[in-house]
Amino acid sequence: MNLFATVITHTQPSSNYRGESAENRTVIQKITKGRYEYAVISPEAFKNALRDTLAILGLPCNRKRIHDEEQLAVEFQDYNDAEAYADDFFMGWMIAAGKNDRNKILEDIRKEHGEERAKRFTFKRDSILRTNLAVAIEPYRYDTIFTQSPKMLGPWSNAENSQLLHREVSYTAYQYPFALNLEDCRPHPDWTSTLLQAIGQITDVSGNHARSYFDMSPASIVMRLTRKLAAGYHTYGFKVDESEKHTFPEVIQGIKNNDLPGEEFYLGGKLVNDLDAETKKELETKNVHLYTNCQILLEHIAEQVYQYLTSPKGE
Amino acid sequence: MLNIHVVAPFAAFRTFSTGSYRPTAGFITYSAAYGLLLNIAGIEMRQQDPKYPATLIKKGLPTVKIALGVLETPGRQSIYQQLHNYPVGSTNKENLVRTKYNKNNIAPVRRTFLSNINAYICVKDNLELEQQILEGLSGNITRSYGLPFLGDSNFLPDRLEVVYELQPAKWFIKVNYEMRNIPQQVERLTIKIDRANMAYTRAENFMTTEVPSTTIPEDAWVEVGY
Repeated sequence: MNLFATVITHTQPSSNYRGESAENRTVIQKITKGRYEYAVISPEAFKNALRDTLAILGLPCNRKRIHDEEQLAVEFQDYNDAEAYADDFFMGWMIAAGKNDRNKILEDIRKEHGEERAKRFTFKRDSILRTNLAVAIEPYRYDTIFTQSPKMLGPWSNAENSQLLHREVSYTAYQYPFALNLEDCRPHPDWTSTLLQAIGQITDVSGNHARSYFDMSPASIVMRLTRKLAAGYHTYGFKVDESEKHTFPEVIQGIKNNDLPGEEFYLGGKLVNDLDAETKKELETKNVHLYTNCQILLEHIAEQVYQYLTSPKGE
Repeated sequence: MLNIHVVAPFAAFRTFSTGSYRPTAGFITYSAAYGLLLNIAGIEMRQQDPKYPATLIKKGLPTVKIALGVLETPGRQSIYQQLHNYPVGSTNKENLVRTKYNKNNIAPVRRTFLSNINAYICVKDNLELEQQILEGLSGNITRSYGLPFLGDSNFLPDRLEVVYELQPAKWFIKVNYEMRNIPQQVERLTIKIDRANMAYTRAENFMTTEVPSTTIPEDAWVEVGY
């Protein structure tokens, strides 16, 4: 069984994911679609924030970010182990080690944790959790905010003058897909359940959140639980109109036309609240699972996934 | 023969490269298409060998002919990222202990990728593999191979569908330098890769047919197998 989902955030000012600065202009990263540029946030930035969220929710995590270094830095508290650490389990790792280093690593693990752990150790593991770029709904409109960083006096002075900053800003919602092959999650049903709940509460995604809070949690969500290997619909299919109404026309129309199986779909949040009564009724007759709140949807999915993972294979 | 319609928002097919610019091929490569097909079929192609830090490819994998059709030309994008890596030489080696031998350095790089993939991957001359692909696509096999992806495990396809009637597509064919009118856009696509010895990696130059067609030209078929 596979789980596919697309999340859309609320519309809010964002200057989250920055690229190469041009002089004093802090540039947000964009891609081009058609005639316009759209701000993006990388899957790696999302996974970094998710790792922090998993740790806050009490799951054991191996890797943590060290904030007080000369450059961006992370630290591992142990050798990678998918049985001991949730971030290793969901996000994998890669150690490119030659023969000598391999022997040394295995010897270290043997000394620290015993023979059994050394035997199960692998130098690589794929990420079970699949995510993709978060892409802005609205094109970037060349908005910038002019701010000033003050001159700092005393022993902590790090510049001769105050700094003038041009900060690029996009007022937009972002949408991003994520997916899980649930068979891969079978060794840790409890962690998988927490992971799904964590996505409902995620925040602090990418670099600029320390200055401007951006809530990355879902305002609306579309999920599909299926045996198929691909979602079967455009995973960046959310539309937001002038009144900020959320729609996902391909999925809703597809279910209405019996092109997509309604019982496999879970829709939640603003998308459901914005449905007209007739469409809502039609979706209910097609056995679509409708939730007015995304976090409650994710909790129910987490429960259902837990039950699936703790039942014999194939049920 | 089996035709698979592949639609994906993003994809990346890295050429062998290092440094601060990470390029992608301009389209799905034959080697990546082959990897995708085996993933769908649930056939494990990866092999770990303690002599090599890189993941190798098993021997004795099925041989099949692949044709690649372009329904839409993908867009090309790039983003600037802080990439974890192993520095060359002895720089920061002491940090290996701190990262437990994971990548111990962070460096800014520009990563390129493709957008709006809308393509056909067509296969022939291996009925057994075609059957396994069909089983995989219908979800009839229990998988322990993650989800299919396009070159980067974050880049999932939106659609992987068998089609029986092809829409007009431009087909990749090998560049023959005796041809007149070789187009400006020539793609070097890998057919078979060897991470243990680059000399055995096979890549050739391809161009697309000029006029979209529902008929796959005979010279579009490329044999791939290990």
